[in-house]
Amino acid sequence: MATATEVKTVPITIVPTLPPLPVALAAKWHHLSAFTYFVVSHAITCVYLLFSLALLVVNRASNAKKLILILAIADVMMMELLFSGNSAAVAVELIGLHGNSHLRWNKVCNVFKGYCHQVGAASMVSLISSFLLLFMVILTMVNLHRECKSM
Amino acid sequence: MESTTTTLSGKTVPTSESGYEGRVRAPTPDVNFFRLDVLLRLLLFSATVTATVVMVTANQSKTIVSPFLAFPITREAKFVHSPAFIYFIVACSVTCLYSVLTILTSCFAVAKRSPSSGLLFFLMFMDVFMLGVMASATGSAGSIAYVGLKGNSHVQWNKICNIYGKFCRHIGSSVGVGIIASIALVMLVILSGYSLYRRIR
Repeated sequence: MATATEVKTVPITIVPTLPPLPVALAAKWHHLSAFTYFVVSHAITCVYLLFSLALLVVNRASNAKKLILILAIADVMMMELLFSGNSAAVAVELIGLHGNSHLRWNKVCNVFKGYCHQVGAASMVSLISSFLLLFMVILTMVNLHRECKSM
Repeated sequence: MESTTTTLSGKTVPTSESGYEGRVRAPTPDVNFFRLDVLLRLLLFSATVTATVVMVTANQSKTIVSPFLAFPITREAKFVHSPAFIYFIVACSVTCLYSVLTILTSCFAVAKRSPSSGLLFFLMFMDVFMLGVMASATGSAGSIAYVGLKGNSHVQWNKICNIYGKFCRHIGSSVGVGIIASIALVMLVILSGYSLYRRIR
C-alpha cells in the first residue's frame, strides 16, 4: 500500500471551445486518510508481532503463563486494529471503484488502474493476515482451554 | 488450619489444601466473574441497539431553491446510500442478537458456583469472532463518515456534512457508540481469558 503511487496525464477540458489541456494528476496512498490508517495499523501490528516473537523466543524455556495471557490479549487488540484498518481501506476502495451517485463521489479507478490494482492487492493480503491473526488468537484460546481441562 | 479467600463477588470461600508438599499445588478456587460478564454484555446490547437505531433514523432532505431552476429540487441523504453504512447496521444487529443470547447464557452461569471452562471458552471464541465483525463494521462506516466530514480534494469527493448536519451527527454518534460496543467486546474477551487463566495458575 505504501508503494501505491501513480501519475497519469489526464486531458482536462476547461472551456469547450479550446482543446483539452493535459494535466498530470498523481494518486498517492496518503491522499486518502483511510489508507493512512491502514498503513499505520499494519505498521503497529508488525512491530508488535516482532516484539512478541522476540519475547516468546527468549521465554521459550520457562513456562510463562502470564506472558502468554498478556500476549493473547494484545493479539486480540491487534486483530481488531487490523480488521478495522482493512475494512476502512476496502470501503474507500469500493467508492473509488464504483463511485457513489447519491453523494456525488466519482469513481477514480477508471483513470488510475494500476493504483487501484495495487491497493486492492494490499487489501487482499491484509485480509489474509487478519484471518491468520484471528486463527492465532483461537489457537491460544484452545491451548488455554486444554490446559484448563487437564488441571 | 483453613485459610479463606474472598472472591470478586464478596463471598468468602475456603482455600482447599492438599495433603502433599511440593509435588501437587493447592488448587486455586474458581472465581466466578459472570456478574461483571452480564454487566458488560448489557452494555454491549445497549450500545448495539443505540448504534442501529441512530443510524437507521439518519435521514435528512434538503430543498434547493434557486432562481436558475424551474422548480425546487429536493435532495435526500439516507443511510442506504452507502453500502458501508448498510454493513454497519447489519453487523450491529447481528451483534445485538448475539448479545441477547449470551446475556441469557451468562445469567444461568451466574447462579452456578463455578461454571465449566467449556462455556468460558465458547463465549470467548464467539466474542473474538464478533469483535472482528464489529471492528470491521466500525472501521468502514467511520472511514466513509470521515470522508463525508472532511471531503477529499485529491479525488474530488466533496464533503457533505456542511449541508446535511443532522445526518452527519447521527452517523458520527452511531459510529462512536459502535466503538464503545467494540471496547465492551474487548473487555469481555479479557475477562474470559483471565477467568480461564485463573483456573490454571
